[in-house]
Amino acid sequence: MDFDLSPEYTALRKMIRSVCEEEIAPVAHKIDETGIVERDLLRKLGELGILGVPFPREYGGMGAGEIGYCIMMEEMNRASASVATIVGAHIGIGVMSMYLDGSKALKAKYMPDLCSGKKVCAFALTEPNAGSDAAGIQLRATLEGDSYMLDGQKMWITNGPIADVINVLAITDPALGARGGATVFAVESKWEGYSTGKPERKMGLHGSPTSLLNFDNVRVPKENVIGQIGLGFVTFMKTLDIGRVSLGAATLGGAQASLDASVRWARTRSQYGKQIAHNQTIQFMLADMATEIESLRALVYRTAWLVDSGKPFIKEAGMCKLLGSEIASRCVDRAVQIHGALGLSRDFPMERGFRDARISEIFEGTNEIQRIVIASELMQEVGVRLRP
Amino acid sequence: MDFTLTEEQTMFRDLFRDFAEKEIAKVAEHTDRSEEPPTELFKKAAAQGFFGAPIPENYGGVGIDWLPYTMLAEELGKHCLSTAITVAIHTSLSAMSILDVGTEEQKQKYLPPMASGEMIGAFALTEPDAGSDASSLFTIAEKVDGGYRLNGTKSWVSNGGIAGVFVVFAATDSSARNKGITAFIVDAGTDGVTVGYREKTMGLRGLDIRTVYFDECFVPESNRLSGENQGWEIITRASDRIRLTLAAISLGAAEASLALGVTFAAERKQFGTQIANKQAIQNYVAEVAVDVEALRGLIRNAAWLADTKQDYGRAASIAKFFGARVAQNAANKMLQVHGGYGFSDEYAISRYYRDVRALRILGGTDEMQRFIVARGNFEEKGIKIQP
Amino acid sequence: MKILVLLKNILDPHGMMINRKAGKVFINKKEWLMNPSDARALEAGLKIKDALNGDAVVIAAAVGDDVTANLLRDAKALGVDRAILIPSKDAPAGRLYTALVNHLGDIDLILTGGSALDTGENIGAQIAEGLNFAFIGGAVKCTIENDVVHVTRKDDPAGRLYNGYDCDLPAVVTFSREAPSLRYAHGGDIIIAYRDKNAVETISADDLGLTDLQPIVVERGQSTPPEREFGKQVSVEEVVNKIR
Repeated sequence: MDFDLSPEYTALRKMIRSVCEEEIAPVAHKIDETGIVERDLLRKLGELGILGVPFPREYGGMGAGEIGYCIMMEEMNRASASVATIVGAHIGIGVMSMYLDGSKALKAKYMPDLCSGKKVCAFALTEPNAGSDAAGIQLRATLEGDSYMLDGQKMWITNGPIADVINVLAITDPALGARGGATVFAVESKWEGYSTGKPERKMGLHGSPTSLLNFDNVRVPKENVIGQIGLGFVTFMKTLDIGRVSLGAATLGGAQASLDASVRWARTRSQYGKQIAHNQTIQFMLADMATEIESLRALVYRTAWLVDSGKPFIKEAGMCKLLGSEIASRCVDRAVQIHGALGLSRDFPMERGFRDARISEIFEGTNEIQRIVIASELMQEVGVRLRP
Repeated sequence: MDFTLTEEQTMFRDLFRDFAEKEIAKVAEHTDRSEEPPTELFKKAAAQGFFGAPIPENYGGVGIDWLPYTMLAEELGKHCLSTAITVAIHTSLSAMSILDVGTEEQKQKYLPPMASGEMIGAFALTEPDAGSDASSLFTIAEKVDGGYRLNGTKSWVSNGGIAGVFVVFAATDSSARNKGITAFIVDAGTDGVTVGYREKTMGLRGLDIRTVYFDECFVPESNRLSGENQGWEIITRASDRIRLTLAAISLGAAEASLALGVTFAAERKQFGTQIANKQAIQNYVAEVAVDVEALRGLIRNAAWLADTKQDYGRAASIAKFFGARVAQNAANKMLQVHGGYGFSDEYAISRYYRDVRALRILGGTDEMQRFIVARGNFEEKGIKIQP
Repeated sequence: MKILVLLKNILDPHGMMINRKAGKVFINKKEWLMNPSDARALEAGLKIKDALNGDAVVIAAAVGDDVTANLLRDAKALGVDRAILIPSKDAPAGRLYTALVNHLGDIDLILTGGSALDTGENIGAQIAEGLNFAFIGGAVKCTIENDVVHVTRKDDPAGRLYNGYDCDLPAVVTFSREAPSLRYAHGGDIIIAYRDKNAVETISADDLGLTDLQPIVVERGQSTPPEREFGKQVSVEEVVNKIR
């Protein structure tokens, strides 16, 4: 029984950490202030395989699996949550939905450009009336000859304003609704009828562009169907499940960054004639952070291993997201408190971390939904079916 | 023991609530986005007496007691924390320090313009190396002919950029630490006073927080506040006042967050029904509502102690400690109720979330309050704990 | 064109702390880095290969143990054609490398860092001496054109004076830390280099015909430099007397 990550993952982490520290961290503050992540940065990441970490090399990916992907998300979120969100949505749910159920031809057509960063991907599920209740979607896809006409709106789509390829769930059979009558389509942003709204103004993740997507009778060739017609909901739920593992890894990175900064500050700052590290209150906060982070690390990488080993992981994935987002929130809150007034200042990264972390408990399935999912898995084992 | 508000107290509460709902609510979002202190609003509020509420009538104020003053703070906190804290710093820290220990001349000179809002007050205590530990100040007040010369840097001075007057604390005897601190009243614009960098903060973006430099600043003897080396007492009493005021502001913020969450839950439909019908949401609302009522009790108790001229420092500390956490938890849980919308700038809840985080740090951190409360407990046993 | 790049592992100086009172260096965090100037040499070698459109063989070599092997895998991930480990604990690296060059044969250019950050050793000069190759040190840029080595170096450390130097092959060029830093490896290449059991070749001292090599440098211990003494004020007369 070996709990160590194999040496290739340590080497991979080292490379990604260097890239994040040298290319991303120095511009993280500017990204938060201006709300712009340079496309050039994404291209640079793509050249190193970072925009396709879990995908096989034959499709232009890095071939590092879920473990490698988690390592990357952890390191990148430490540097900038905005960039990590763009990359995470692009890989973890965007390209992933195509990778899981797309045809070989479709994958060969789009994945190389997506993995190299030449194109950006988005995952479009949420609508104004369908948030946690994803089954309430209404975007319609009507068959017309050899193509489908997509009409409707998607809301709160991460990467919406910058995506070139959008994997969207639409209702193909209204009688069956989302469960059984929905299909996933790969839509290109340059097609007629597709437009995006203004980027949303958010409390945090300023560099991660989010917007409304408008589908005004967009013609989508039937070759661009991902998976099977009518089974799109299954594809998307599968995608969200696996996406949660790497989201857990991202929150791990944020929590770790909070701890590292707090330890350094505890050494630097003195009051009452001694470094604040000598106060038990501070010590206990640091200890709690470290303990929580260690537990999250174990959960995340074990779950990643489950994924890479082809074992069931749905319950654990939900736990990664649930535990990770709550631990990250607690850690970044402690970090703000330890830094005192400086933790409130926009000149320092703790404040940005605090604002950025908040959405983790909400997107990709609110923590309330995660708890329902986990409870469902538990009750299913004793024969009780739960509904939200 | 009668918990009902008197007619006068009810009248004040309604006055504050009315004004806040009519005037403050509509500018709160703009204040946050523009990061400009809402000076037009301040003028209107000052005309209502809000900038001199507890100051006695003979100095131009309204002369209200602590209980109605906490209700003012609460109503302001419900709508705009930047405004609430501007008023709190101006009144509880600055003006009331002058009222507390000032000479008659000082009171006559400064209190009327402060009560009318013409002159905003600031309180310059914190320094880059003196945060929680305010006993070792590096701003020096050197005794010179006719007064003192101040040299040093003060940081995180709320209202610093809009203040007409600063209550400044400096060391007249560095070796004596807290027993060597003296307070001074310094007019803005005095030679040697430079108002510097404005802090960019997570929340309270309408609050003008500055670094203020004192460079060979001459302060006449007549502007020394209370006796030489008597500054620590002023700081202690001002801390008690600001803590109770911040507790009341926290209550307002918590109530506002709760109201936003309840409204959203009653309207938002998912899974075929309003999310108010989901137990998870109900639990969040209930826990916050319980906290709010508990906080209200703590504030009322502390205000009563203050109004009956009893020692209210410990009660104020308890209320502030509890209040800051209640406010943060309320904003946090109610933001969660909003789901994705909670993260959007278009909905007010995220502004409250950003604004309330400061309450656990400014006016004495959580850690400082815990120390004060525990100190009281152990004092009874004859043990004097050190920070 | 056959290029040999010599690499060394050093302990990350950020993980170390000097304690004057104890008179010791404490290693708080043991992490290994590629010697910074060696990394610059590797980058230069890869740039030369790029300029020749891949028509060059770059061989990376290092003396050390299993940990050093990772250094060589990193080099492999970056695109070197061969990665060679010479296992040794404290044998003189200069002699091992000189023997390696003779063993490999036809080496045109040897690139390495100007000095090791931990020992201060200048292995490049030693090898150039041993092989009688041309030697240019302190390079910030190195290109090959028609079998002539063009090196740019900064001769004035304080100023901005850069001079160009040429020499014929075979040559040894060492790099300063001002040369361009090492590129990032593609993540997929890292995975492959680390999973490939044959990524790193091992050539032992015995294979090179060197048996019973004794270390020529022995560590006698650590001590901090003596405390600085304060100077003393002197009068003009005292100064004059000292001069006389």
